[in-house]
Amino acid sequence: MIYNPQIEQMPRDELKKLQSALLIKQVERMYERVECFRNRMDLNGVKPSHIKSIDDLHLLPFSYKKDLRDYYPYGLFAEPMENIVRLHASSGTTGKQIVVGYTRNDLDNWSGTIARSLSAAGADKNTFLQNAFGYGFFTGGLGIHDGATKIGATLIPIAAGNTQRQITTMVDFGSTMITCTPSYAMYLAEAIEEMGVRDKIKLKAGIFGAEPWSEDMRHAIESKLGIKAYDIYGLSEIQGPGVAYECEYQCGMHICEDLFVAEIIDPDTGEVLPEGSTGELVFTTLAKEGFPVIRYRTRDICSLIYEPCRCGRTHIRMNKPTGRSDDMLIIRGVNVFPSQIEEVLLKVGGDITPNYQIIVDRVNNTDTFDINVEMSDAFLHDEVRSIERLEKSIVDELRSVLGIGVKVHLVNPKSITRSEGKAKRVIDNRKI
Amino acid sequence: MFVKQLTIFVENKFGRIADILDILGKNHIDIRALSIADTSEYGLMRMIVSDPSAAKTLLREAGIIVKITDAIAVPLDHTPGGLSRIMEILRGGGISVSYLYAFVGMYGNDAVVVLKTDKPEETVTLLSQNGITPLGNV
Repeated sequence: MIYNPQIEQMPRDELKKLQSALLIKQVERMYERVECFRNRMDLNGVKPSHIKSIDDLHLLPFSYKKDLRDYYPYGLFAEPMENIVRLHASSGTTGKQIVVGYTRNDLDNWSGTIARSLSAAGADKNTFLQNAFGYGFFTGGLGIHDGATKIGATLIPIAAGNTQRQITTMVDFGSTMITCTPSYAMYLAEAIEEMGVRDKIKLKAGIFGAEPWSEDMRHAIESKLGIKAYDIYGLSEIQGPGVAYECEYQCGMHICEDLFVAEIIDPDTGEVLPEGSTGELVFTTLAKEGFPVIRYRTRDICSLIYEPCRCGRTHIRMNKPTGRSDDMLIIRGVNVFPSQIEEVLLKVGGDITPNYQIIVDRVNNTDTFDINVEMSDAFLHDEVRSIERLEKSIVDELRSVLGIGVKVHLVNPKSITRSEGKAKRVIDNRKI
Repeated sequence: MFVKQLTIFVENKFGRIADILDILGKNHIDIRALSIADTSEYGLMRMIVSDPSAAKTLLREAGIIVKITDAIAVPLDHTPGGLSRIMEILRGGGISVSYLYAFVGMYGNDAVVVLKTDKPEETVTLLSQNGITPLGNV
């Protein structure tokens, strides 16, 4: 079902007019209110008056994840805090978290995009929606939550984890739709099989996101759970989930183009690439009030689909991101940068960064996350418990920075493979 | 009075102990006392050797992580109850033992216990007061 036909099926020339009007307004507003944006505009000699339509988007400066750290916590907000009604936070590229803020209108637009996403996956007021995304700073839980309420579904805000309870709830409450990460969906599917309750569950569909997954994984989830598995895209810097979502044809995710404009650029030169090219995805928020961004570099590599979709929605689609233009890893749905790990090791090791290697794998549909740390003088002690205390402080510190658990292994010096003198920092053995 | 003890990081890898001992043997480093603490992930080898600083240099050149730390080497009667007496003294003084390993014939025919406590200086004083003089490197 199409939740908002007027917007989702808006003829493209009208959509373009809407985008142009919103962009002009957004640029004027941000030039006035966001120092970082104004400085970059001035540096490039671009004035808000130069922006006459969406076609002028390429004149505007890029913005980066690093900006959120440099202007932490509220330096990029375009509204006074009295108008901010919600904060969400996620991990930055270093130990410091990043924070975004929403006005009432922002939350309303956000839940609107989730309402579109849920409707596209067949949800309505008769749906029992088991929301197994994490609640809290993570945008997944509360994002889906508000959208589900908007369409009047019966929301089951179970949050992430506790598989036994997830399945019992699914059976007892008669959940017909589930939202979680794709790897957790696989995990649940296997647990359901083991418990032999497959015939007791009423699930018809699931919406999965927050980590990369493949078509093979989709097919596995669909056949194991007997459901249709839909993809959803988002990032907290833009809004959270609902920036783009799949329709019943499952052929790319429709971008909510009335709110977000997508571009594909060459990550090295910054040049906008021709339609259909694969490159880095860049987003501009047209209607965001609290935390608007212009040409935000998502670092996700993907392509856009301009051909009309059979579903009748006029908004373009994006293919699943196939990689990153930076070294970010997504582990159990959490963004992890090697630089964050480096910072923790530096802190714990007393100003010396030991050689380390991150090893990521997927075992029983759960990501494993191990860090090998080369033993050094700074870490050696004649008492085992002192070394263990040190290992524990690395694990604890990483958990507090990243929000996920990690196993630390002390290994011999020089045992981490080096190529051309540089240690290979990340080994990702996951076959997604 | 402390004794210089080598602490060596032993990665959990086949043949690792043999590698380390081979280096010491070839270079005529005499091992007087030795213990290995094993954890699920790695081992810690502690030893008293004839020439700690030479041993450290040799091992380090071989890319092995090694540290010299102070320990207390206590001579004791090689008779039943010998070690027990030392422990009683420490208990009486409220001193806790972090680790210990005992050796017979470290410097002759006597027994020696190498130990690390939570209060090293106090331990030496207390033992001395009880007529026991910890050994230095010989």
